[in-house]
Amino acid sequence: MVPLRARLAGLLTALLALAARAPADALDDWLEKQAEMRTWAADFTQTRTLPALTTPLTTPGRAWFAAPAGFRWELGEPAQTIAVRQPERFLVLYPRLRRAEEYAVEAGDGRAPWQQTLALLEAGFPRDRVGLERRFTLTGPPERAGAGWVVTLAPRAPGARRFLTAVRIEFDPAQAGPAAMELRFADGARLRNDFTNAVVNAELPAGLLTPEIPADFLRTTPAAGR
Amino acid sequence: MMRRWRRFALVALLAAATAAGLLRLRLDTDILSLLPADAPGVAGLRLWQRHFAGAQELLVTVRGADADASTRAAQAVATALRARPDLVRRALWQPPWQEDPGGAAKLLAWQWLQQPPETWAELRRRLAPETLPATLADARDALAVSLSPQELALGAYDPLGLTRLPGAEAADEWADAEALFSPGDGALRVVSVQPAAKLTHPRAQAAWLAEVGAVAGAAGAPAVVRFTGGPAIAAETASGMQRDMTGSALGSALLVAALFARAHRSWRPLAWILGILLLTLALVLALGGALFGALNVVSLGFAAILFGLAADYGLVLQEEFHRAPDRTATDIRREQAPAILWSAATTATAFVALTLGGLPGLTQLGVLVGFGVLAAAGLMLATLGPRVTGRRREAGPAPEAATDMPRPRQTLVLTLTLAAAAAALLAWRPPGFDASTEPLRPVPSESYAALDELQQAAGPASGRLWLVVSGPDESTVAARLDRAQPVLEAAQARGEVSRFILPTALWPRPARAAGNAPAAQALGARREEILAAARQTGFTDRALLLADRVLAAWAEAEARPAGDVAAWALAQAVAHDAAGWHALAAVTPARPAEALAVLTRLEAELGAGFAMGGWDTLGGAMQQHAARRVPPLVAGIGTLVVMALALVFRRGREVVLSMATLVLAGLLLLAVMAAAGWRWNLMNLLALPLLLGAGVDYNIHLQLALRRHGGRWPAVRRTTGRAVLLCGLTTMAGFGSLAWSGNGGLASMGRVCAAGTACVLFVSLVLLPAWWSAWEARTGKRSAPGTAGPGGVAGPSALYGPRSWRLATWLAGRLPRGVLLPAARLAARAYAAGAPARVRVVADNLRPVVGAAAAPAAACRCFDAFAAKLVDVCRHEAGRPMADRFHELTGWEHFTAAAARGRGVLLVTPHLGNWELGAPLLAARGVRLLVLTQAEPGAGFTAQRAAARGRGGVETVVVGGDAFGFVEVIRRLEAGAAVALLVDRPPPGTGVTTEFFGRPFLASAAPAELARATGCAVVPVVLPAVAGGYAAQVLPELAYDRRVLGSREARARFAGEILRAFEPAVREHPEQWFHFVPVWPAS
Repeated sequence: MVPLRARLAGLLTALLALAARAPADALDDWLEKQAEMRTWAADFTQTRTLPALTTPLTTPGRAWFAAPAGFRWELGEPAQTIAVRQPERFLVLYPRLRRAEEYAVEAGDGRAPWQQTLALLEAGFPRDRVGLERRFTLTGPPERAGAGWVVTLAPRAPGARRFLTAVRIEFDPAQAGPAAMELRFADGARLRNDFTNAVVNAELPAGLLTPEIPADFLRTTPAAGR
Repeated sequence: MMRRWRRFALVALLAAATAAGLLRLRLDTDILSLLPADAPGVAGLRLWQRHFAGAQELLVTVRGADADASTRAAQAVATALRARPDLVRRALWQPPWQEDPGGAAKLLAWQWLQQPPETWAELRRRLAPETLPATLADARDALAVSLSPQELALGAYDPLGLTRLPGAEAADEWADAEALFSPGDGALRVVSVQPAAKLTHPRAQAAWLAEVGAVAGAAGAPAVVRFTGGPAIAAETASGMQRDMTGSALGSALLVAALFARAHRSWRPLAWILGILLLTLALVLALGGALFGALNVVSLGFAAILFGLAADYGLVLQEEFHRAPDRTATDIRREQAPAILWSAATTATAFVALTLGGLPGLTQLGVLVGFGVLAAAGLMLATLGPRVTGRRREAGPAPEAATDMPRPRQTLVLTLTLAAAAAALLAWRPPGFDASTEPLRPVPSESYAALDELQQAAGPASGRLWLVVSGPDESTVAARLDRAQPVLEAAQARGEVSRFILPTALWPRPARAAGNAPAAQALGARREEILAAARQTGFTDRALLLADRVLAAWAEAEARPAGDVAAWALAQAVAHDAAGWHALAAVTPARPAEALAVLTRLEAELGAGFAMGGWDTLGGAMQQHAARRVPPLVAGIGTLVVMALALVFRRGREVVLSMATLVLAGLLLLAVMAAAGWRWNLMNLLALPLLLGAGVDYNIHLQLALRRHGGRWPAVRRTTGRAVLLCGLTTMAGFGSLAWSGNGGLASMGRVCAAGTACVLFVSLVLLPAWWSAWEARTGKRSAPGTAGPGGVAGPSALYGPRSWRLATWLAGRLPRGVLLPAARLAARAYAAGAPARVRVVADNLRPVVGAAAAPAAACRCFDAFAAKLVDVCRHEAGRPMADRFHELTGWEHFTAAAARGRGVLLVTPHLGNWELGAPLLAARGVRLLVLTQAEPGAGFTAQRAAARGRGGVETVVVGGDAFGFVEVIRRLEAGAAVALLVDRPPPGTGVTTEFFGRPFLASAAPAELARATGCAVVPVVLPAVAGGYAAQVLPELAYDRRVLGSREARARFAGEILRAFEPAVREHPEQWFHFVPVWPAS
């Protein structure tokens, strides 16, 4: 006969196991939510911790995402840097400097290191596990981080790895969109975005992802001809 | 004694010159040396290669299992090589400033000193005590909001903005340098290695490379380590060149020797010929050293080609010495010299004409082979002789089987079938054109394979162009750089150029540096203050490292940056030599496909002092070059060849047949290429003129031989045909041995030339004889069955034709003899002066009669005598009376006695005196004569002459023109008629070999045949010119036993007796024995 205490312990273990979410399940759940996401908008605070500076730099901003790969980032209030991902190009506007930089986007992840790095700005918005693992290697299973989870990714592209060693995404499996995202650079610099006030599947303002470049902006294509 | 010393001195001088030339000889391994200097982009690429591409820089490529493994392996390779300072001066596995930030800072400080004063004013304003805090705050803010990876990477460590040099996108350039060491995804790494000492000799390069290879291979393991760049390519190319020289030339020589041994089974002449070939090779190499200094990879292929071509002359002479054991070496040399020298001259012309192709490699090849064949021809003619080659009495000519003769109908079918099949194959799969520079590379090439891997890793071709700006001094180049800026900006604005980098920031400007030095020192003096302000803004010491070093360098006011970083960076864009200074800029066309057009336009806009080039544009440039140069080149060589053929043959149809041979051979070659999947390229395209020149030799030899032998192919095949076959095979061996050359272009040229030679050989030996015979038969012009003499003279002069004869007759009918005769003699002498070959033929004909010493003078008199004969014949045909020209008639009783028997009289005569006037003489005595003649050359000429005779009551029967002609002649003889016949130059294929003046001679078999058939009287007659007129001499009848004449041998004997009856008359009047084509049979 099995002692009663042992039977109770076994039952308790089974119940606990049922109650606890497996880490992989948590990531898959979040990716399912991501797949359902058409649009996403949130405020964020960007913290850049650079070895070159004694204190971190903190900048507020706002981000928008539209499936499958469109996004817009605005850094500063008022915006000092606007980054817009369009199907064929990556556009960076510096309103204060009256400057616009255009980077052509090749099919796939491209070969140039800068392009692979820019593509990482999309890292927070994977649609499925295949897409995620095409670009990144999971350094381990997702881990608990407070109420949510955190997954650490390493870029697969060697060119990107020369700039960027890791990407950490904090997420809530029950909610689409990242809760926070941190990029860790090869020189020890870190760039962290903490998102708040996220709105999922709301209509985005027209023209948000297709901004006009003001005529007085200096337009450059820094990586052309490489 | 004196003469001997002079000869010895001459030989010694030649040997010394040869040695000097050989000592000067070097190998040029640069692939760009093979390209035409005037093709767009080539000059720029050469400058780039010479000054910037790191001709002394070895690139070690390292590929590990992944990017990290490659990085570790590259670092290990660099570390291991740095530990060998005896081998390596510098080994870099990443941009040098990443290992030596201090060095980078010094370079940056120096670059700033070269900037214009206004830039310094702006810098001083930014760093002034009152604006410095704002400058630093801006830098800090930019780090907070920038999304540019480069700005983030550099800006964090450059709060003062020192890397943002005006006029240059510094960050971009630095990122480019990163890509040099880690192209693409980083899985392939590059280690740049500079040798400890300058390596100039390819052997030293190869040895150095082997040592470096051992060190790098061991350090990089298990990663795959390969080598490319200047030293690797040069060492590989040089070893390929040496292999070509020894391998293909030796292979060619061995093949020639094997073919010779197989054909002649005689070692002494073979050794002699090989010795001459080696001597020629040494002379040509010496010439190459003297003329060019350095021989390039393509020109070294000359040795194999030369062996193949030059051996021909020795083989032909060898054949002739064997075939004519009774003739003196001088005679044979004199006879063969024109053909050999013409052949050598035609071949040399074709090869020298390669210089017009504009490809330096082929220019050298053409000059060397051209000189070589002429030298070899001269040496062979001067030194080969019976003492060397030995004598061999050949068996008599083999009976000519019917199957040996060319069959025109079958040949026509074969010709058309081959042409149609070739055309169909070409329509289905024509050989394409490879415009790339791939065929110029060594094959197989480990160094180029490594280079390809490197370029593949760097991504698809961008069409990037190098712009080399040159000038006599730094300031001129600086001014030109400033001039280039707006031109390139305009091109960018037009959308032609997407990006350009001018080395403005790196260019040394001593005047500016001197002017900026005080301001720089002032900033350097504020170093501590500036750094303190930056720290106060929040920048760490790590961020201020660069600023610290730059300010320190300014404080010290260094005139020149020292260290590896500066050396490496400046070597990328700045160069100078004795000729001046050179700056390197890069221009990226907006559309790679239009790079060549961009290059052409920008070069035109920029003008002197600027040269552009790029590997991606070379293919298009070469295609343009080929389209521009090859057609006129082929046409030019073709014209030269046609002119040479016209000079040699002096007969249009033989020129046409030669060209037809070459055209069909060309068609067959194209078909072979299509079937084998070969493509034309820059190198093998020039096989066309080579084949044109070389292939025409066979035509000259064969058609002259066909003339010589009266179109009897079996006789030609046994002598010249065999020699041509051997020559063709040796030529194929020469070209074919290049197929294993270490240079792809040379190998393809060797293949195409060997195949082309085979095609020419096939058409020349299989089809041409039948074409020739068919055409000769059609026109009725056949050469006498003698021996062609000097210059290939075998047939009558082109002046002997219906039109000229009509004109002469017309004049003779209207002008008095006193006017005509001097005019005719003058014309004859002019002709003789213009046709020395014809005079030599006549002299050769007379040599057995008058002896070698008297023959030339007798030949000259012969032309005078012939002029007088022509005048009288034409006057006779014009209807002028001739009876008064005869002063003597002897032996008439022999004729009357023979005629009285009633069985017909066959009057036989040689081409002596004025035999044509015999007919009116007989007619005046009531004898109606029937004349047997051969067909005259030219349409209607035979009928024209027959009509003229007919007007004097003389009938003509053309022998060979009508199969039943002889039946009629027999019938007439049996009826008792008088028939006249020339006996000393029978129609082709009808003669019998007899003896005349103690030598073999072809006599007409017709008199003996007619005697056998009819029993007619055979009466010899001669009509020589004597003082003031002619003498008619009827010689005693030649008796014979008709029954005995049933045998062939007896008829031949009788033919000889008939001929020898004229020996006294010919000996007495040698200058009247009119033979202007060779009459003595080939030995």
